[in-house]
Amino acid sequence: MAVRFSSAFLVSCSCSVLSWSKRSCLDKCTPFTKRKTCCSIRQTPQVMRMEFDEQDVKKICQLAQVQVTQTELKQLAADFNSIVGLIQKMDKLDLNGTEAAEYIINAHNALREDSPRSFEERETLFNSAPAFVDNFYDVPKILEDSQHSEG
Amino acid sequence: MFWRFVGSTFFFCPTCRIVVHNGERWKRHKSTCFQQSPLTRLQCHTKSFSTIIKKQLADVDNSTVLSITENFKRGEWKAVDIVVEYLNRIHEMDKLLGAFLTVDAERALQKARWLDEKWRKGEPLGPLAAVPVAVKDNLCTKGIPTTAGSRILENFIPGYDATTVSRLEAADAIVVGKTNMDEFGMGSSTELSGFHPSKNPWDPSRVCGGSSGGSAAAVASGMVPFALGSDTGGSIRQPASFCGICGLKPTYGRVSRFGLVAFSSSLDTVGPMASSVMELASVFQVLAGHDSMDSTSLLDKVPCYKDILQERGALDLKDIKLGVVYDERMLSSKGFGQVEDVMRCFQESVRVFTHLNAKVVAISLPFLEEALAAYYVIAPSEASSNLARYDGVRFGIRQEAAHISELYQKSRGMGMGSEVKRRILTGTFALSSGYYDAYYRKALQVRQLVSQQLKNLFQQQLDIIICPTTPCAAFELGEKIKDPVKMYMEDLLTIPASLAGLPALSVPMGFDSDHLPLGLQLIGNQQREDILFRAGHAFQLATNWHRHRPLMYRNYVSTTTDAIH
Repeated sequence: MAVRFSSAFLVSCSCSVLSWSKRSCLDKCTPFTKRKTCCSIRQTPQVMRMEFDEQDVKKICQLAQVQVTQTELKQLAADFNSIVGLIQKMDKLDLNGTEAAEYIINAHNALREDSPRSFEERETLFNSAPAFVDNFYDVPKILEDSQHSEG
Repeated sequence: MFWRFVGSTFFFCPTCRIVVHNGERWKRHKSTCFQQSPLTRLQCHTKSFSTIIKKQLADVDNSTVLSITENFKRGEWKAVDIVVEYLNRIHEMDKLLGAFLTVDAERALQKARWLDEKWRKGEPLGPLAAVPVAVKDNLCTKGIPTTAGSRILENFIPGYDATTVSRLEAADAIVVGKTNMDEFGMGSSTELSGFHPSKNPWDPSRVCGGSSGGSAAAVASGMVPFALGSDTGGSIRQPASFCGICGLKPTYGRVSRFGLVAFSSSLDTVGPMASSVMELASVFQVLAGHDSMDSTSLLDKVPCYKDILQERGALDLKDIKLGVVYDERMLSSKGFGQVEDVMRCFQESVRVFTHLNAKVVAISLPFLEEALAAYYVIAPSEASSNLARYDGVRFGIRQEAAHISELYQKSRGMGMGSEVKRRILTGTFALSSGYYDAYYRKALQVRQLVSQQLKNLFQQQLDIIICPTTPCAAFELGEKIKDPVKMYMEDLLTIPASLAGLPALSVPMGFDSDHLPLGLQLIGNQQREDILFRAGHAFQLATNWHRHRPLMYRNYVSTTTDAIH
């Protein structure tokens, strides 16, 4: 997905959606929405300039499963903008032809003997569990109500 | 520099070279005589053995790791007395500094008694026998609460020791407690701890650096002879520089990461912090080596560092070529004040190395800001993945919730601090679909470029690269906490070595105009900690910055001297 802000109206490259406003363009094609309309071709933008507002931060919080309060949300939006300003210094370098670093020092597969070993103090693993019942970690419900009644 | 008790009523002060006749005048003289320094060696006549140890340990030369072990093995000191003295120091000084989160006195005394018994029976003792050690709170210790500085792990007690901790225990060191740190290792000042900030022993209104700030404060104030820290982007070297001690970040994979609470798995390392390079080398000998529990652990053999340091000609570095980063403008343009002090101390240190016959070559590191940017994409991205396990299900604090996703969100939202949330969200964003190529993949390319450039520098026959560890001395509490990017800029000079996985050593190189310590960083090639130790040790034989102690330590020592007179 790429959104270019420099032109008068905005084109979303992957969706071929024309839009007059920044907001509706972003709404149509943010990475957080389900990919119903976007086609599968993805173009990597070379220079990204993004302004974060509270909605964007809220969406990221949902992805990361972290709850933030309203005041934290405001602060985070401002912090994000300055952090992205720092990160964009990477764009100054010419990275054509450089491989992405997968391994820095050692690139070997660490294998071991296929022989079982047991951990003697199994109980200590469950000592810190908040709710442990009958060898199960007790958690609140996982399935949605509608799904549960259908099943 | 000692006061001798001459006859019954005459006191002789050799530094002032006068004889004082009676006790009252003698006490007045002692309080005004400027030689109240930690290098005081006192001849005392009290029968109490623990008071004798207290005074002997007050001497900088006697309280090193090696001298404690030697004195214990010779039978001069008992392990219990040593531990009691250090626990007293912790009790006195930690009220002000807040360096420790947990102190386990009972366990330490039990181990000390066991060691005394072992000595009595004549059984073989480890290389660090009877030396107290403080462990950073993100290393698992069996039976001692391990929080990684975070409220979300407030009640977590691991059932196993980290490999580094178990190696120290096997070497007969005594773990006295766990030190304060920035939450999960994210921060450069220890103000971002979930519990309380730690203060700098040199000036308690200032930070002690981060994230291993508690360990650095504990060693600098003399509360423990050495400590363990962890380094992801400078977290051992920067607090070592702020607190005037030595810290080593080893080659990535040289020391096992098993038992370390993971922050950024391709950057994390565990390393020692102590007052001198000799001590670092003896501790590192115990820590380094392959571990089958860590799949990124290096298989190569560990050389014997002690032999390297005790060679004749330790002061001659004629076959070592140093690359000196001579770019003052790079520091002053980044918004750091008072760069003159740092550059003055740095240039003096380079002069010391030229006097030691090392060849000095000027080099430049033009990619510092880009490396910082890449680090602040890679580290939060890896952290967002590693910290996904703190969801309130299997361990840690759990909040009440009706649905599982509410449980995750509430537990993580309430248990984690603001910096941790910032980094998890940055990482989640950088890895999310549509932004992965623009941010994370680009950062990996920058990492490759930085590593390649550093490798090229070493291939041009350079042995060590030296630069200041930090662009400034310790800043005040609360100064940089409002703006996260200002805090991130502290790591400007320490990040390239982390990105490339290279070993780096920070040694004290002087003081700035506010009498705060400054650190010198030596970066070596892969697995060449031996050259770093050799150069650092030679530097410390030629200078004595590492022997200075903060005022609160000297005050503690002077209270022990008043006790007998």
